[in-house]
Amino acid sequence: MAAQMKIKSASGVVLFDSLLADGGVPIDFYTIPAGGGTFSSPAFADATSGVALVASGGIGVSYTVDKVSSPVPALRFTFPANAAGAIVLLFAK
Amino acid sequence: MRLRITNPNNNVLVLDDRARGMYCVGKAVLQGTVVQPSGSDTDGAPGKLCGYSVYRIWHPYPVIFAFDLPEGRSVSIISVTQPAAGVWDVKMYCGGGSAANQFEATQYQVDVWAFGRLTGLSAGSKQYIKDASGGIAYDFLASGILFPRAAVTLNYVSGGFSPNVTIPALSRPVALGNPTSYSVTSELVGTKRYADVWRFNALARTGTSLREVQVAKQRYEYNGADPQQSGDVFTAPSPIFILEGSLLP
Repeated sequence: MAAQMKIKSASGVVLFDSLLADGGVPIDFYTIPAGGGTFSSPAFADATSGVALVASGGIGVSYTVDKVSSPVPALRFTFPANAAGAIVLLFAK
Repeated sequence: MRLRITNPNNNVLVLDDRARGMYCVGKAVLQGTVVQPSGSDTDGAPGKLCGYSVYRIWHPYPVIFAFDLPEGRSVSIISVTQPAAGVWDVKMYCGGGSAANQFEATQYQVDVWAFGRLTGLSAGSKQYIKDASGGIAYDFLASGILFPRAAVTLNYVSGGFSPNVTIPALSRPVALGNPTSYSVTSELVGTKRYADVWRFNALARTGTSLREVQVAKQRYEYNGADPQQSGDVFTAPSPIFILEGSLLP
């Protein structure tokens, strides 16, 4: 049986239910540097994939997600130079 | 021991003690009034400008904004700025009604919420977990925990519009994330006359269908032998999370 986390308010409203949630878990915010950049998360090396939501708005952002084994196993997000300056919120799935 | 919960219905990780939980900071406050579209799209620069509205909230850490998806409107984040430490301004587009050259006739106020890290544990909370570095991963008594009900990806297609994607039937769907595609083009509108047009993508919802639509941000015309803009068209898939807005303040 799968573990389930459900949070209810005092009045019984479901505020979080792991059986209904989607998207992944937040890793951190990341500001894409000039020239592009990579963000590696060893903590989520065992995640299946990742998602980057654009937090800054109005800036074109493309990215790739893969898993690397060197120098340590990690979930890696790669952002090209044309996304420089954008702020993204990274999620592990 | 690691706390790690995956939703067996979609095989997505939804809770993990190595994560940094995000919480609703609050609803951002409209600054001034909604600015309506202005100018003429056949005049010289600056020509016609789309409308917008600006909202402000305070939080010491970075934030990401979620926005309402009222039917009949096209909604997008134009920009996010930090005019002072801890002060976050979000410039929103919420348009409706057709106008020439992909402008929309009217600009509307829209509800916007900010999500960010906790500034500390909620009062008296003993139901929390910390990550390996001592940061708060989750405080289960804090209000406004981020609870995405769906994760969709809108794929840009020619002309700037995406196919419809289906979102859950919620009381009040709210989007987290933002469309990422835009274009800056010079278009020949007569003999040696050009129009420079800035366009960006916005979200449009009809019931449980969501898609990207392309709207104009600025357009002006000029005479010349050559266009002023070389053209810059950026297209990429846009991941968007859908939240239940009725749970937000």
